[in-house]
Amino acid sequence: MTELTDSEAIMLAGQGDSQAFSVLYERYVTRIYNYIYYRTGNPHEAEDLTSKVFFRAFNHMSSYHSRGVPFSAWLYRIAHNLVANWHRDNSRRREVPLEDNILQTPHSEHPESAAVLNQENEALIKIIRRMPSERQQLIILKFVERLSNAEVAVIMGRSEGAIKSLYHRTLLALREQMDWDQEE
Amino acid sequence: MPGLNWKGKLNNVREFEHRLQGVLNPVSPDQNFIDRLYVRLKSSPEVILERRPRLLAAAVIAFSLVVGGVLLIVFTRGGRPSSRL
Repeated sequence: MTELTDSEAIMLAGQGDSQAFSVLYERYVTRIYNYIYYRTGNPHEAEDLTSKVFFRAFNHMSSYHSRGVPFSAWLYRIAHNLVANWHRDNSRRREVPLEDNILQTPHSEHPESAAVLNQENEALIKIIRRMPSERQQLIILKFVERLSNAEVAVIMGRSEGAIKSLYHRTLLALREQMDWDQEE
Repeated sequence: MPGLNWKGKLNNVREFEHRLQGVLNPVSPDQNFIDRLYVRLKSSPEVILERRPRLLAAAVIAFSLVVGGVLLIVFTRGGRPSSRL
């Protein structure tokens, strides 16, 4: 079963074969979890929403074929919608700060420089978390998921040129915000 | 933030991208979670459970329409002036 290609697994899963779907699950669960984890900043919510993504995907496998979007992009879109709903429903609830979960002090023979580096990384994560949703999505897809502009474009439903442009504007905004934070 | 010198360190895009790459590391989900979800998906009773609310909602809407229709007919007839007078 694990030797199935994505297309074969998708076809079988579309016919209700849960074994075939579990092949797809094993291939994509870590990527989807990562995306949600960085978008919510909460490992428990990431687990819960990841479960929902895969159950929703399995429920709608029969209607997937005609969509003309790669399976991974389809999963990311489901994840994106669930995360958006989650943010809307939990806007009043205090989230676990992302930096508390993610940042790990790198091993260093110079504890002081490691502390400064960690402080800088925390500042950077905080700035990313304050950015508009689509920019956060772009940054995570580019840097956590390591996707190309073309792949990000499919997931976000934009042209590759639009993603390239948004990417540069996002990097510029990040740098400006960091400079601004430093001057404060 | 005192003591930080972003301008000096991040003076080009490549360096900045490298920096982001270093901060935004992929994480590994808990293996227990992966295994539990795998089992749930394979047995998949929740697939049916997730559909139930929709069926229930459809049934409630249909029932409401029928009851509403009946009440409308009853009240329309009840409000009409009696032909006996």
